[in-house]
Amino acid sequence: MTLQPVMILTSNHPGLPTPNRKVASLDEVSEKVLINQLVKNAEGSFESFVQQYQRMVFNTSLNFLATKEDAEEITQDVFVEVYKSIGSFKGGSTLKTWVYRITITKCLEFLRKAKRKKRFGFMLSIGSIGAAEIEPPDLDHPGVLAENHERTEILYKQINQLPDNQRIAFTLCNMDGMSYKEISETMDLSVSSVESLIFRAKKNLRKKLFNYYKKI
Amino acid sequence: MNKNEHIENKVDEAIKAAAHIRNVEPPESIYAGVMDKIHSQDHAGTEGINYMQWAAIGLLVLVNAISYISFINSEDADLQTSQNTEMEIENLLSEYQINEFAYNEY
Repeated sequence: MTLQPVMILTSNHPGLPTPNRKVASLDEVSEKVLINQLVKNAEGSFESFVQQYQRMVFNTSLNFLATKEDAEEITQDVFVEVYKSIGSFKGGSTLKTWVYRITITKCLEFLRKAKRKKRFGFMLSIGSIGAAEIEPPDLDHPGVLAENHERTEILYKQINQLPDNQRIAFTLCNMDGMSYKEISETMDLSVSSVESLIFRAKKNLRKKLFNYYKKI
Repeated sequence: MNKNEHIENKVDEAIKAAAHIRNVEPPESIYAGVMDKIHSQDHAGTEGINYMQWAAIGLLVLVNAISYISFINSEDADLQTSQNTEMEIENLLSEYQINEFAYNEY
């Protein structure tokens, strides 16, 4: 059995700045058919699902992690998670929102692990003189324009210090180009809460960036 | 333009840079990588079950061995106690017999 083409990617031009990445929302019937096929592990259904969602998952991961290699790793982990958990998907949200949530969770887990590694590296460097501190990898985001590379790298360093909720809201809004409504569905918050989070994220970022530029 | 205004401009540019990040094509190897991970996790899962089974068997053997040893020890202790009691009775009896003999003699 093969998966019927129930999902269509919008034809966004890859060279356009964000917002430019959308997976067309499926109507309820098509989504149920797709989920059913995934649960039954129908031949070709999972491959087709990966092909249609990988762009969204990869770019969101890239925007959170800022490194192509890490984003590829997390994208794979997201689809492995979908493969394992599709049977427990209750349909409380759309499939797209569910995939977004898994992606964000995986990205945050990855970033937390990286922070722990950094702390451990710092402790090692205290313990033994000369041990190299594990620094987060440099910005390796193929979507960043060359002329914006330096300021985007600085921006990422400040984003890394934001609380998780502010970070998610800011990244989804300013980098992924999602609407407040889409973010509210993904984060399971009200639209006004999302507005407030983005406002606070920008305020904090401005403060941190100001202090950063003041020092140099 | 004073220094603070200059910094404010830089801050604005940095925040605007986020909106200029472009969408990129994902690597072609994503699906292959996903399937590799799924297969390797399945394999690791099977090994994990075997490992757990061995651990459970080991634990079972250990528990049985401990209970057997403690059972043997308690048997020994019981035997020792009963032997001691027997000896005490014999001693008392012989003492009584000696006394009785002595009494009769007297």
